[in-house]
Amino acid sequence: MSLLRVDDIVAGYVADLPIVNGASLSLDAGEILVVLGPNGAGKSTLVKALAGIVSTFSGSVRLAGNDITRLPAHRLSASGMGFVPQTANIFTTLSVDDNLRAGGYLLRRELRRQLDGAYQRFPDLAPRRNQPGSALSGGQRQMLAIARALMTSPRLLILDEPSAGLSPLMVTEVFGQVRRIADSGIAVLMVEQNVKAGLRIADRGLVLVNGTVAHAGPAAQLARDPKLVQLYLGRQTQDREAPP
Amino acid sequence: MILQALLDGLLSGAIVALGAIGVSFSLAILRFANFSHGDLLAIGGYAALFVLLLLAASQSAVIPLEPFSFGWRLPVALLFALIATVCVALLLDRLVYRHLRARGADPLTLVFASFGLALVLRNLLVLLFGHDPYNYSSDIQMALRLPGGVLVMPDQVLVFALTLLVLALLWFFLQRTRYGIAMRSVAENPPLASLAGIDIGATVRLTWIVSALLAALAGVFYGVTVQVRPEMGSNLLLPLFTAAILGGVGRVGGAVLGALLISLSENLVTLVIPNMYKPMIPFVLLLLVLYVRPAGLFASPAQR
Repeated sequence: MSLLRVDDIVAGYVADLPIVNGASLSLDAGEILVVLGPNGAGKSTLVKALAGIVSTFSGSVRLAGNDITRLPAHRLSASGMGFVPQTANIFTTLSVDDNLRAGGYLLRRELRRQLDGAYQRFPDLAPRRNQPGSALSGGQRQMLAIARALMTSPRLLILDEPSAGLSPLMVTEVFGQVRRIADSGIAVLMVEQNVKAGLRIADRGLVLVNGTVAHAGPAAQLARDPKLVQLYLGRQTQDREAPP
Repeated sequence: MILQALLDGLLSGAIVALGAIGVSFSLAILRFANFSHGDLLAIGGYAALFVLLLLAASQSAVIPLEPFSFGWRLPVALLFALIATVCVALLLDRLVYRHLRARGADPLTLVFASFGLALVLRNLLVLLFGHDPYNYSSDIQMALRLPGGVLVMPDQVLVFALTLLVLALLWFFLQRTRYGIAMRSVAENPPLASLAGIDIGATVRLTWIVSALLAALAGVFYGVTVQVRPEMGSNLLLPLFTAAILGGVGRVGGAVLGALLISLSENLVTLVIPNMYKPMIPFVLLLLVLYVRPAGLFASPAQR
């Protein structure tokens, strides 16, 4: 049985105008699934719906066999889901340590152990634990956002465009960390505009077009499909690869 | 003269600080300017008065605990005031603000609702206690003479010490407990706080409770050191808001410093201009700060 199973989900901001129209996907533990697609395809809306931020009108979402469809965002963390939004994904007025403590809000005795674990996994954050989030670089912020989402040891980590706004060097570092997270047994669902880098670390990919899944398959196979790249992904791949 | 003004400013600033922190929480976490907050102070002051009047018949209760002006009935009254003010604040949230929030009301609607509630609360106090001011104690209290010829009442010293203790406890609560971190998280980014498992509705209720406790303390302390009047809330409103804005919205330390700055300015300026212009001082300070540094004198780098 898949860890995450999404069946025929319809979601959006207004009931009459759904952005995601019957998308389905599944994800196993330790696997990375990258969601690709042109702008406006509904990629971010899909993951926001899974995270309880956007309304789900129909369909079902099951995490580890439990129905989590329409659970409010604050209850999903306890259900085993961690979510990292694309923007405003850390508390800039809080220190690094307090960001992690906020992420571990649901924890009691295990908080100290989880904090130590977070600093071990992201050693760059340790010397900055008393600095405010606003003092961090883009890459450090992304690391902190991921560390915050991992505080409750989720079984599923959802990342909304983790490479957005990062330098190529930082993208490599962040994606390396994402791969290690998946290798530790956490399922990773990732929306990504950086098609090439996204497919390189993912196990599987799916292409979302007009809110429905147009293509799905192993990441290596999607990356080699010239028709697919030309139709849906080509322009973005070129944009990302173009020299500054 | 100047030393006396400085000390008086410091003592009254401590009381304003307790109220200003509540206003700051309203602005940062509840996300509206709560114009009924001053009247929560009055509710606290009058709730304590109610118990004081109730226990007035008990001889042992009214015997002052030297060197203070009050007996053991005041701690009982304070406890009742804390509970009553929290109940009133939660009731107002439940009956008015929660419904407005659920309907997606904009902050301006909440502000107007708070105006209305302020009038209701004030008139309720007039109805129950009348227009006349009340003193908690009519006993004569001997002032302590400090170096430099400065006079201070024992009650004022106690109120100041208790305020410092409360501020230290509040700092610990906000910085070191999970509920404090929840309040600070919701103040900055409610959706992200929600993703971390923080229940926004519960945090809003917690904010009302903490704000009401501080308001009740400020109201009772005002009653101990000055007197209670139905319009005390509206009279204090401008200093409370000015202190909260001076300090930077959501900044507890800033609100405290803002309150001290206002009270010290009021007391020092009245050495050179007539006392009748005292209420103008917070307003002038507010305009100056909004002109020079709109986010507040002590706003964090992220707020500027």
